[in-house]
Amino acid sequence: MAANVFKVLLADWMIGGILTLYFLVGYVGDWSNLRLMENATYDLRSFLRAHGQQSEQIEMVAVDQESLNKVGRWPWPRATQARLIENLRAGGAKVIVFDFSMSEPDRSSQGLEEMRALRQRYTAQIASPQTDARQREFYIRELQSLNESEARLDQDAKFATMLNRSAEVILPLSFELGRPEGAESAEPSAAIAASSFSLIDNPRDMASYPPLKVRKMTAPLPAFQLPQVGFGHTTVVPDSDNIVRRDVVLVEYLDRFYPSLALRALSTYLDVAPDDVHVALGKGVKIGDLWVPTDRYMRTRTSFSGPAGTFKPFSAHHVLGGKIPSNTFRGKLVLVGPMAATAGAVPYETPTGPATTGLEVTANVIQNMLTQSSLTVPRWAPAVELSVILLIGVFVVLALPRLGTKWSGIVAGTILASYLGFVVIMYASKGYVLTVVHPSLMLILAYTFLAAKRALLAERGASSDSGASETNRMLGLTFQGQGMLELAFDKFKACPIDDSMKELLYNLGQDFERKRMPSKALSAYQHIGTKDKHYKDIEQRMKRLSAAESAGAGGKSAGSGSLLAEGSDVKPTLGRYEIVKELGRGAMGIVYLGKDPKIHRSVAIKTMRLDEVEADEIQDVKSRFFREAESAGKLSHPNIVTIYDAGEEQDLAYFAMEVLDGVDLKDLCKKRNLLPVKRTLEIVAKVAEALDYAHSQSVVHRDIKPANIMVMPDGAVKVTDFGIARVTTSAKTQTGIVLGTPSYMSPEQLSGAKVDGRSDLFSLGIVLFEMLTGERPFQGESVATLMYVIANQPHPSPFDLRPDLPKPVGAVIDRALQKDATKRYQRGLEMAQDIRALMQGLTV
Amino acid sequence: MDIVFGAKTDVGLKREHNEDSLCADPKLGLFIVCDGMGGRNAGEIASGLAVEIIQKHMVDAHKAGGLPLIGTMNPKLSPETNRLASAVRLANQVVNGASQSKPGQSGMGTTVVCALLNGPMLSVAHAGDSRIYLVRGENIHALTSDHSLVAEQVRQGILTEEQAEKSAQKNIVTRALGVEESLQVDLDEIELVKGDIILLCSDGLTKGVKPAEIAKVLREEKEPQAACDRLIKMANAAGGEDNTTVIVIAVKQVGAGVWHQLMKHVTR
Repeated sequence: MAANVFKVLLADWMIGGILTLYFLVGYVGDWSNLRLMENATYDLRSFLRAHGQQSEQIEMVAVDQESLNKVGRWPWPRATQARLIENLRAGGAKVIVFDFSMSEPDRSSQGLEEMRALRQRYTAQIASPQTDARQREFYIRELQSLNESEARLDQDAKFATMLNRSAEVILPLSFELGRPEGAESAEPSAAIAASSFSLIDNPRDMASYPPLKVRKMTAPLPAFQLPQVGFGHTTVVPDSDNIVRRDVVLVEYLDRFYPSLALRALSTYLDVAPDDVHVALGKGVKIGDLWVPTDRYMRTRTSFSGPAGTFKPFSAHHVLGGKIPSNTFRGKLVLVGPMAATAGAVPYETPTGPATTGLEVTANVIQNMLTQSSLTVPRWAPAVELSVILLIGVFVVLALPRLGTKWSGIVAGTILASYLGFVVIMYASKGYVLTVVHPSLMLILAYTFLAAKRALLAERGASSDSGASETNRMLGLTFQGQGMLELAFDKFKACPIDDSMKELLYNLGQDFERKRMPSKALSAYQHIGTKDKHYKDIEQRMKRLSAAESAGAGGKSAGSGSLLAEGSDVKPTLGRYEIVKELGRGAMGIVYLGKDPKIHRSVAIKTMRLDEVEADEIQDVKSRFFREAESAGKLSHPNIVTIYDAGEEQDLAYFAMEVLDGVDLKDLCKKRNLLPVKRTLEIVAKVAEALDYAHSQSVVHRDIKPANIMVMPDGAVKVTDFGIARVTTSAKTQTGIVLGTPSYMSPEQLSGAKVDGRSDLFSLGIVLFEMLTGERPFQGESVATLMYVIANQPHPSPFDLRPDLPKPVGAVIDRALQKDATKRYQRGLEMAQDIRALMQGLTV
Repeated sequence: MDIVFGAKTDVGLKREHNEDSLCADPKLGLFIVCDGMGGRNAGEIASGLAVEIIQKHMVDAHKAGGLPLIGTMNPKLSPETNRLASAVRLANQVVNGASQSKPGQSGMGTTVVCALLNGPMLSVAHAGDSRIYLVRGENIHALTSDHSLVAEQVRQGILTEEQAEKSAQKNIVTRALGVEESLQVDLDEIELVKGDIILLCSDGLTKGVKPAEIAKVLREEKEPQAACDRLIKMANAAGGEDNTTVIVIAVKQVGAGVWHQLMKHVTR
């Protein structure tokens, strides 16, 4: 039972089916293990688009280690920061993204605090009545210079002033992921809110395509939250394996949608106000004429130009020092950000390499958007991927098992290569991202499993006898293919009747019908019927056939040249005999039961068809045929089969002999069938007497064996088959003749020497031994061994096999089985006498 | 393995029918010679049927791995040799069945000698007195020993070789395909090298031509087909008493090494 379940599980289609199911569910469920592998292929592919070029419209200014060394530790004084931006503005930059956290006041603010405290005191003093006029004047003057100092020192204010004058600056907002709750997530100021994108084309799709929700906003100082300033979020979300592949272009904070720094910069760069940017939730963003495609969660996939360092930034201190040529930044989108860790640079890992700063990531993102080269998952991707998986599933279940190992490998490999090629081309040229892992693994695993199974089974199938029924089925089919239907049926009957067997038996039945062997057809259908009476139309067929059979003349097979035709009333004759029925088929032809009408004697008629014999061989064959008749014909002995008549009619040669209604000794030589000792001795004695007579007539039998000795129910013994299967020594023999197992041959027969009656007696001795013990005295696996044993090895003692045999038997056997013919019984009569003598002394 | 082969069969000078059959299938690497025996033209039927069944079984086994084997598997021999034995046993059952189905075919049988080439290995299966020889370098080796009465007698020292040749019982075969329900097939495996020449032949050749002469022809003729033609001529010149069939296979290149092992596994 378990074996059967196992067998089903291992069926070819089952393997394919399980794999398909696994990958289907894995695809739909987006399993993490598959996703990880997919990411690996994704990252590999990114090298296809790592062209290493930097867009001409983007410039980077980095606060790198060099700048820190030159200018000082970060944070730089606000004034320096302002000067940096100013220089860029003076250089004509169109957009300046200043990606530094501006939420802390300037360092110098501590001094400012002191001054403010001082100012308050001075102001209080000025206002106080206790101050005299001269002190008041002092305080007023001091207050004024204090104000001036303050103004000078208040770098934040300076910065704010600078911001006020400009229209190009973009500052970052940082958030935490999650839903806003409580007081931490404060309402943004109007200036910040102004940067949100509010033009939603499909507000009803908000539920289906929810953007990422964020909370706990950290914004630049309130002084910097000016309407002229653009704001963008800096939330970077790496994938589960910590690699940054995407940019979240839009997040939702307190019911407003805030663009990423990159997107905000882009809209300023393209002169499109936030209010005018079209947002199609779940699909993308349209800035003027530029379309930025996103996925359902408003994310883009970044196509990186190369590993870290691909984009070449300017060192911030060069810009501060005014050393950059004046037109470098004219009309460009400038990104200013940290590149040193101490300045706040965060190293991200991207598909193209590790340690890429946020600055460069943003630069890549903007470049993608500008040049429309971001990676997208096309709308048709899920449909295509799913159908590819299903198609490959069908292929794997149905086609793969039927192709040989070689072809299935070639076809699977071709399919795999084409799909991969398609995916790669789509990626490289159009930036379409398609999943690769599911179809590829399906093909690879299916091929591997099937090939492994085939290899294992081929080994195992060859090592076991793999079921006799399998062999019989194969034999049956081969026989059927050769038109040997009855033999095929025999083999099929040895197989269990499962569904495929029923099919084979049904076909065989039809073949029988075609060959006009209706009784056989009936048997075939009946055989199916023992298991399944209602299989196809066998019920009708069986009815029809059995009706025909009872109407016919006994359902004999008509296709084999029998004299007896179906349904005929007239009895045929052969010579002067009437043919009554068929008795069997002998080596040379059909044997019939006949009747001599004149004296009403039943005879057995052995026939041979001469029309199948070749012209030049007819003489030879006929002479051999009649020689048997002649040999036995001139012998007239109660223990030798009597030949009455021989003749020839048209294309048939025949001879008539006595009907023998008995069995031959073959079965009586088996251990369980052994006759009583006395009976055996009786039989052998009679044969010996018969042989004695034959030898006196110069006839040597040459083929004495149990099959050629018959016993009748009344106890009579007859020796048959003088001559048919005999080995001839004619020099005229043309085609080779095959020897049967020479278990009963005498040594002189085997050595090809002259043979006389004593040889027959040797053979009879073997028969005697076998009939007494159930085993042959000389045994060997091959002709060679047997020949050697007969010629050289002494026969075993019969008492070893059957200790209760009468002692004198041993002597008889010993003499009969002498290797040297001169030492044997010289006449059959001698042997018979010895046997009868010892029978006298027996009771059983 | 890279081979060139030739094959020819001839009715001889004294017989009316050619009861030999042969198969030369380079794609399978299968070569068979069968010498049929039996009344009238039953010999032709037996040998033709044997060749057909053996070839068909090998084709079927090649297409579908895991086909059952007829007879027990011998683990000491390769799967290919076992498969070849299975094919011969199957053919035996079919010919035996056929011999019982028509009176004129009763007792028919055939000798069989077959060679299966697989990579550098040669599998040999035979029953009867058709032979397969290997010519390597200066020597000619008989790869099979005849299953004939006189051969047994020689082996047992009852006769000398010369006496065997003159024996009136020369034609008696002790083992043949199709005569009994089961057949004991003799199997062997040999590894071939470049330059080897293999010859399959029915006894029509060896009755008239000595092995030394055969070896000479095989070495002299560069083209196997020409060698076949010449051998047949020689057999007929020596009397042409029997049908003669020869197949000559010349091994040009034996593919060994990793690549072939790999290909063998992939293409099996």
